[in-house]
Amino acid sequence: MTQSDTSLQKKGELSKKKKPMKHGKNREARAALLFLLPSLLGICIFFLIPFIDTIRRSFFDAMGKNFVGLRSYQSVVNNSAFQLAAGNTAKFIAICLPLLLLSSLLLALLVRIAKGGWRIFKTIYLLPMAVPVASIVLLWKVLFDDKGIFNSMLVSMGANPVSFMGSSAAFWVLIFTYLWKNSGYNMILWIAGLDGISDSLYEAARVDGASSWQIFWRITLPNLLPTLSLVAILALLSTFKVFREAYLVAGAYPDDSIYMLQHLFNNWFTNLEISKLCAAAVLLALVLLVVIMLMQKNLSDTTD
Amino acid sequence: MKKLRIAISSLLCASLFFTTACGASDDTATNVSTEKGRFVQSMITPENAKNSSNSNLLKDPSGKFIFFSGDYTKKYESSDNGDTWAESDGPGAKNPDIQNSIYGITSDAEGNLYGIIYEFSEDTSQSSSSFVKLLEDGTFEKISFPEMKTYQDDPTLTSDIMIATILPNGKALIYFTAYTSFNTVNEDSSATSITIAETSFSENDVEQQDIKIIGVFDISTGQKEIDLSSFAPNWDPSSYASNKDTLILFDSEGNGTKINLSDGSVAGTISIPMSDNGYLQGSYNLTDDGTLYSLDSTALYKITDSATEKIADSAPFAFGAPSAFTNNLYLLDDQNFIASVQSMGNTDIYKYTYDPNATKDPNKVLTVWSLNDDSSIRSLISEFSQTNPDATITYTPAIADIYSTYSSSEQENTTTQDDAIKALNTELLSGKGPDIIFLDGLSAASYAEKGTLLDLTDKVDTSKIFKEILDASKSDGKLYSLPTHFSIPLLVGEKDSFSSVSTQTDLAKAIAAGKDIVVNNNNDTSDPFASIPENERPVIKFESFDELFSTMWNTSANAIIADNKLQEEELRTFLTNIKTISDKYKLAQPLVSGDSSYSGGDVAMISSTGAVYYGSSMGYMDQRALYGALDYNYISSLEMFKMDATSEDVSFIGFPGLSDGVWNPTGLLAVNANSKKSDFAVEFVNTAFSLEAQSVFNNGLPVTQEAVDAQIKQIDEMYKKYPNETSPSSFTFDFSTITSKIKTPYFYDAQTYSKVNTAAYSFCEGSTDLDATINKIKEDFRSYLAERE
Repeated sequence: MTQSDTSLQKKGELSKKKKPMKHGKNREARAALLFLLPSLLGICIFFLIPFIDTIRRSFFDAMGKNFVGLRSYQSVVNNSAFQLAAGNTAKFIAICLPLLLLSSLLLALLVRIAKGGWRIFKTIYLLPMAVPVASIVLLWKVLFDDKGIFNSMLVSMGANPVSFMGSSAAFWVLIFTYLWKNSGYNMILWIAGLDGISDSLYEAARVDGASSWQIFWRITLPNLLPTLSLVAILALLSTFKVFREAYLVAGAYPDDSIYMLQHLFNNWFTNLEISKLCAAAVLLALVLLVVIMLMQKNLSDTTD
Repeated sequence: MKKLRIAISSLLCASLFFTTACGASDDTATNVSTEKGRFVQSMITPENAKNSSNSNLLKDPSGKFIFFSGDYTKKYESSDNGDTWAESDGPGAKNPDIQNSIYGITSDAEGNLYGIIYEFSEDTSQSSSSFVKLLEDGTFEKISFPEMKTYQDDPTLTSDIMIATILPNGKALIYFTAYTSFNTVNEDSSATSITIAETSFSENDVEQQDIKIIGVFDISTGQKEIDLSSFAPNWDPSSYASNKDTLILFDSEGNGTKINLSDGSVAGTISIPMSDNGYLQGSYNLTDDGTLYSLDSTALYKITDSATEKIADSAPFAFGAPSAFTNNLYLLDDQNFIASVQSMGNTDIYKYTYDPNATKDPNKVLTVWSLNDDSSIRSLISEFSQTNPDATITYTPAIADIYSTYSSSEQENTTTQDDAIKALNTELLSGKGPDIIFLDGLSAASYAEKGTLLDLTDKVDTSKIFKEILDASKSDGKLYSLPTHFSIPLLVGEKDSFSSVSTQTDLAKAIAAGKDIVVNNNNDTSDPFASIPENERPVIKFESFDELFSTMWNTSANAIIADNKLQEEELRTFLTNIKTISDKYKLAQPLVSGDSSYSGGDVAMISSTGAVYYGSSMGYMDQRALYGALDYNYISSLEMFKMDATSEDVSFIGFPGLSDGVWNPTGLLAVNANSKKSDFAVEFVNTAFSLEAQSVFNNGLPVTQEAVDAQIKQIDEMYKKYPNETSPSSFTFDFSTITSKIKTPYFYDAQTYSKVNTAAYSFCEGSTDLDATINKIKEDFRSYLAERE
């Protein structure tokens, strides 16, 4: 028996041994598919197929009968309402996202170090999530109306009233509302991430004489990076939900400073500008996809 | 891996099939009843009595039907349930004095006719009414009721017999009222002894009596046999039913009390379904076996002690039209009935025969959509259903507001306008949606441009429609929608006085140079609406900033927003003019009693033809301003100006705005391009321009010459029939003076209206200057206009 025969024989034995493993993997895959099936079906019906139809409609006229090529995309890119809305949305995300991540992380750290009765704040910070949008809108109106509480206070102090909802101040009102409503939820995500960091790491660091800042900077933060990815993506997606508040308070055409992409989409749908709407939706989806992929890549690189 | 791909592909195909299947139920969306049997309507009004008003249909004990022309000069009798009619002279022909003063004719078991005669005494300036028996020679003899005579003879009281009808048992049901006129009563005069349902109160030095006598009377003796005065507070006087043994009186909520006619005892209760608008507007028939039939604009119901059964839905029939109400209901047998239906001043008689073999045609199914509930649409559906009894028309207003006559609890406040439009768009984009769309409140041009509407050119018969309206309705030579009626803003004033107010700027200057508005509640007179000398009248009397803005914006919007751009110069002119007028009349200042513009609240004037005037048009009618702004939507409105403003020189021009020839199309009718019943839908559209349909629209001017002619003729006949000192003896009107002004259609847009309104108000109250206001409006319009690029 030559060496090559021996090696062949070994390969044959190996292959014989591998067969049951492959069979087992297929079974696992089928089982996984079966479990994924309901969710996949839902995604197909409610997201994938409509999105494919959206892509198709972006190349057709409003009734989806005549092919118009890239005309809708051209029209959208050159449309000043789209430019305004996209700019406002980007600005909103650029300001809100870091603020939200920081504020919610800070809250998570504070709640985590809180002891005894102070832990009640964990629940308190979540309360804004439980407040219905309609109530928040009512609160907005009471607080920020031209004759609302804040303006009454300003006037009583001798200052001029501010048209919060009819000026660029509306943008900051919207940011405040977003942070107030979403910090609690993100705090919970951060706490979950913090809970995932082994206590032994902290103990080891303390034994080595590390300061609190060093512990946070060298241990907590690096170990929170996987959580950061999740929190950032969820926070990014939730920025689009702030439209509900803006729409209910200021209507379809609010002050320019809070005129978001969703306002544009809403109005285009009402005006039957479906081709433009679909083209803008596809563009937005592409931008979001790229941003999320970049975020994931950067964060995974950093984690590695 | 290959299997995985196959699985995923299968999954995608399955979900695609699933979603397609979900949406493939278009034809089954409207369920068409295939059950056999339905009522068939036929009009049986005597030929010469058509288009008559105030007629009453009677059925005498022998089963003969009796009908009168509106002035009672003609009497029609039918012994074959309305198939043929014999015509003879009515009481009005023999006695012209009663032509316009008799009403509520009823007959007894012997066929004698009775009625209520209305009389006015020039000496006492008091009116009174009497129950009379009509004699063969046209004269009448009054039936005396001793209990009422005291009040009828009292010169300080105005008495009225509201209801007097002969019941099947030969007795008379009488509802008599007497009340103090607004004359000062001597303090010494003690109130007459009143024992029946009397209320008495003092107001300043006026003692007021309010007497109500209700009962069943013996007409041979005039004595009351059953006292029903306890029903006075709740009884809806026109709602009752009776057979020989029982009388039922209904309160305003449809709850009926059965009264035993032999002894006046209460024999039980019964309830009738209320019509959609919450009012009792029906006719009732109580059969000998105690079964009650109720007919109103909702349905015909059969009501027994144990059950209420809907016999026929009203929608396809004349009594289902919003403008209609039934005067009389007579049952021929279990399955056939006759009703007299009054609509838009005309009374017609219809026979409803149950055809057990008749079915609905599944190919004649239409769905009709409108943003808000609209009585015109319901009238049109009723009209169309009468000519297509085998059709099924489903009308679902997208928003049923809380004030709507037809709102249902499910719809109230649940849908916003935006939601409703989105829901419609979703359906249209998926190739479905309603067959007929009323575009009021929607962007008609946008829907046409996107290809959602059927091109009606060469499909609809437009030969009768005014050319000006037709031309103004076309887009690129194609016709996607048509208004079923319209209005036009006018400036009304003395003839030959318009040269100084022919443009908006001229009007503003004239107002600025003119007199101030005189306070309504001035101290000079107790009549807040008394006329003032012509040289003291302001140019125009706007009641509020909103009225001013609305009038001026509607006639300028098309010029300010043109070619999807905000025209700055036009906007500047508009704001300058509106501020000039607002400053003159202090319309943007807080209203306090005593201010020149203070009107003391919303006041409106309803003319004898039903036209409503308020704000500046009322100011002109009251002779308290030189001109009036009128949204002209009723043909006789201008004639009313002549009558009530007591001037024969009333004339008009289109209200001076920045746009030329503005008019307001309403009831915009369009057909879904994807309708599977488009031919039948076009038939529906054609019906909207028939004489019958155009005549029942009561909230705008007709769009066809024949309908205009018919309305002019109707008004002319009314003037001739009811001549008086203030009204002309005839009515003619050259409608081309209106149609020649039709050029630019204005469609209300809530967004643009509210944005400019808010900014203009700030400017007028002095919070912002002109440039800042223009910049603010430009900012506000930025995204609005940019979206439409």
